[in-house]
Amino acid sequence: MLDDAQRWARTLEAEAALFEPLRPGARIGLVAESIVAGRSAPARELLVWERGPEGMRAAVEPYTGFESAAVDLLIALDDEALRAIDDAHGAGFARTLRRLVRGGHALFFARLPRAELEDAGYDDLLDEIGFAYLGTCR
Amino acid sequence: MLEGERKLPHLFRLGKLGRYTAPNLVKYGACCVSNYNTRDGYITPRELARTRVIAGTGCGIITNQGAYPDPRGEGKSYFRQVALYDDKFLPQFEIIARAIHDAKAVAIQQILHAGRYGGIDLGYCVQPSVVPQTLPHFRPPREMTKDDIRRCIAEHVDASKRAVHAGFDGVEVTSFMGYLLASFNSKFTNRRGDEYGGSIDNRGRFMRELIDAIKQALPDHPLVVRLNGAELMDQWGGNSEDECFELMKQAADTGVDMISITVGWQEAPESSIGRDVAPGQWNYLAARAKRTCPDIPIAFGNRLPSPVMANECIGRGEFDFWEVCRPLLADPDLIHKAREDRLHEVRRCIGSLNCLSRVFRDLPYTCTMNPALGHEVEPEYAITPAAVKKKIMVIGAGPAGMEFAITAAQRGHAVTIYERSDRIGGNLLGYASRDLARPDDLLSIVRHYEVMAAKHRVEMKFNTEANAKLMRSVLHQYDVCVVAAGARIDMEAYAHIEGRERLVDALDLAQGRVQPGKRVLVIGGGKIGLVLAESLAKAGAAVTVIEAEKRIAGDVMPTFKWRHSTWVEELGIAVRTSTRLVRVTAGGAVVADAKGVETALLADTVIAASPRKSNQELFAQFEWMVDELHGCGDALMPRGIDAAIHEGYRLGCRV
Repeated sequence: MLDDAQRWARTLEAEAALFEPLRPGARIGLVAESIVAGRSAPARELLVWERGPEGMRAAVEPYTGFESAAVDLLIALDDEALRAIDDAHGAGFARTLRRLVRGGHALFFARLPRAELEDAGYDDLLDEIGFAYLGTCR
Repeated sequence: MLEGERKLPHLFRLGKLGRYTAPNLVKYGACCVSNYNTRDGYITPRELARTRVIAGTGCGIITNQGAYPDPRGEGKSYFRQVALYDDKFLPQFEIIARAIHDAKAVAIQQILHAGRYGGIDLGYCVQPSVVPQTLPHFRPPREMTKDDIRRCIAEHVDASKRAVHAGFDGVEVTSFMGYLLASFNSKFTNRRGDEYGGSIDNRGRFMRELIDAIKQALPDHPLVVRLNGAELMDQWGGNSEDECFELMKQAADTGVDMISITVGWQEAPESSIGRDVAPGQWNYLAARAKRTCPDIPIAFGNRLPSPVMANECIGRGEFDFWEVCRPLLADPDLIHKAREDRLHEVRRCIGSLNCLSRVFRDLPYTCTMNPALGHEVEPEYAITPAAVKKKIMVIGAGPAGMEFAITAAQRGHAVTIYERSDRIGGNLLGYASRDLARPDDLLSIVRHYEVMAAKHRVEMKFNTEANAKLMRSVLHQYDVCVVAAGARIDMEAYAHIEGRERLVDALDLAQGRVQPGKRVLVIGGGKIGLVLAESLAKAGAAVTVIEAEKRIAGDVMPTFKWRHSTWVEELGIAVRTSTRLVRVTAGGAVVADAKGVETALLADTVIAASPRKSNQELFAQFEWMVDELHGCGDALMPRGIDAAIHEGYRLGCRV
C-alpha cells in the first residue's frame, strides 16, 4: 500500500492544489501505525512525499525510527486507514484522509513546531485535513 | 445557617485534607495558568490582584496555579508560567499563601512539570521516550535518563519544600493531561525498556517515587495528585480507563492525601470541557475513583459547573470535593451566591474556552463572561460609584447594551434601555436558540441580564424603535446616550444581485419571522451562516453553504472552528468555498467558483448570512442631540459576544 511510489505520484498530482503552497524541500512521511507503535509489521517502509521544484514527488525509504525519519510531519496509519487510503487514490484523497484523522485512524506526529510548519507552507494542507486543533481543552 | 447552605448541605460541610480542616467541600482548581506573570517566572502585581479575588471566592481549598520546578525550564509549558525552583521567587508566594489563609481556606501549591509539552523557552522537551507530539505546538522530545529522573524528583521535593516554607499547607503534583508524570504512566508515550517502562507497574514507578519522596520530605503536609480518570487517548494506544484506575490505586497506596480526577490529554481527539459536552458527562469517573480508592478524598469537577449537581453527587458519595475553576472565572461570587441562595444571579460559564484559546496562544487568559478577569489590578475596571450621577439612555438590549446598563446602574446612574423587540437579548436570542452545542448556556446570558436588570432597576422600554423622532421626544432628558444597536446583515451588499428580493435575511430566519423550506442555500460561511445551516440540517433540510473565502468559519473563535467543521461534515452540509452568489432565481441560485464557472443550485430558500454591518446610523442622527454619545459592541464593528460584553462593561465603568 505504501510501497507503490508511482501510484502515489499520480495521487499527488490529482491533489496538486493542496500541496502548491509548500516550499521546496517540505517532506511528509506516511508509515503504518504498527511500526511506530513498535509492533511487528510486514515491511518497514516509509512513504515520503516531498515538494520538489516541479511539484510533489513520492518515494519509498526505509523507516528506522522517529528521530531518523527526516520529515516535517509523520502520519501513522492504522490498518483501517491503510485500507481506506489504498482505495482513495486520486482526487478525494484529502477528504478521505480528513475522515481518517477525525476518526483517529490517522495520527500525526509533528516534527516541526507550528510556526515553522506555517512558514513551510503547511497551513492550508493542515486545515484541509482537519489537523489544526488543540486537544481536550479545546 | 444561610438558606443556600440549607439547600446545599453537602457542599457546605466541613472537609478534611490531611490534618487540615476546610470550611466547605469546594476546591478551587488550578485549571489554568494565567500568563499574567513575567517571562522568567516571577509573580506580578497583576497576578497578586487576581489571586486576591480567587482567595475571596469562598472555596474551602484553594490551589494556586502550577509553578515549574526546574531551573532549566524543561517543566515550563506556558509563556508566563510562574517558577518555584529557587528561593528568590518566594516573596510573592508568601503573599498568595497569606491571602488564602486570610480567607480561611486551605492553601495548596501546584507543581507543574509539563514534560511532553514543556521546554517552551528551550528547543526540546523531556519525555520517557522519543515520541513526537501529535500537535504542532511543542518541542522535539529527548528521552530522560535515570539521572534525569532522580534530579527531577529532587527538584519536585525542593519546590514542595519552598511552597510549604512560603506558607502553603500542601502541594499538588500533576500526572494528567500528557504532562511529565502522565507521559511516563502512558503506554502511548512510554516505550522504555528499563524499570520505568513496560508494565503498568513500571510505568507508574516515576510517579510513585516522586510521591514517596515528597511525602518523606513533608510528612505533615497533604499531597494531592491530579490523575486522569480517562486519557481519551486509548484509540491511539494510550491507557485504557482500567489502566488509569490502576495508576490511581498506585498513587493511593503510595500515600497521597487526595486524588483530583481529570479527563483527557491535550492531544486527545475529543473535547472534555467545551460547551458541547453535557454537564455531568464525566461524573462516572469520579464515582469509580471513589469506589477504587474509598479511603482517599476524591476531588472532581470536569464539566460540572453546577453547585446543585455537585451537592447531589457529594451527597451520593460519588466524590468528596467539588473541584471548580472555570465557573469561578466567569463568576467569582458563585460560591457566595450559592450560600446565600442567589443562584439565579450567577453568571454562568458558557464553555466558550476563550480562556484556554488565549493561554495556548501565549496570551493572558480572559473570560468571555467576566470582563474584569485579569484586570483586577486596574482601577479602571472596578465598578465604583460615579462622581456624577447621570441619566442614561441605551439603544439596544443585546449583550453590549445590557452589560453597559447593569454596570452603569451599579455605579448609581439611572439607566433606561430602548429596545425595539419585546424582550432582552438582541440578536443573541435568535442565534443562541439554534446553537448546536448547548443553547441553554448561551440563553443563560439572556436570563442573567433579565435578573440583573430587574435587580438594579434598569428601566426597560420594549417595542420602541430608536430614531430621531424618539430622540426629539426625550430631548434633554438624558445626559448620555449609548448606541448598542448591534449589527445586521448588510442586504445592500446584494444590491447588484439579480433576484435579490428573494433573499431571506438570516436574522429574520433566526428570530422565527421566516420559515425556511427543505432545500436551503446559506450565503456566508461565518458563524451566523454556520449556526443556521447546522440547525436547519439537523431539522432535516438539505443545506449548502456558499462561502466567498477559501475557508468557512473565518470569524469563529479558534476553539470552535473545528467544532463547526465537524458538525458540517456530520450533518452532511455541502460547502462550496471560494464561491460567490451570481443571482437568485425562482428555483434557487446561480453561483460561480474561483474560476468563474457558474453552477445552478436548486433551493427553495436562499439565506443571506453575510456580510454584517453595524447599525451605526444613530451616531450621526444623535450627535447634536445629547451631551455624551457613546457606542459599544457590534454597533461599532460586528464581532461577537466577547467584544460586546467586554466593551459594554468597560464603558459602563467609565461613564
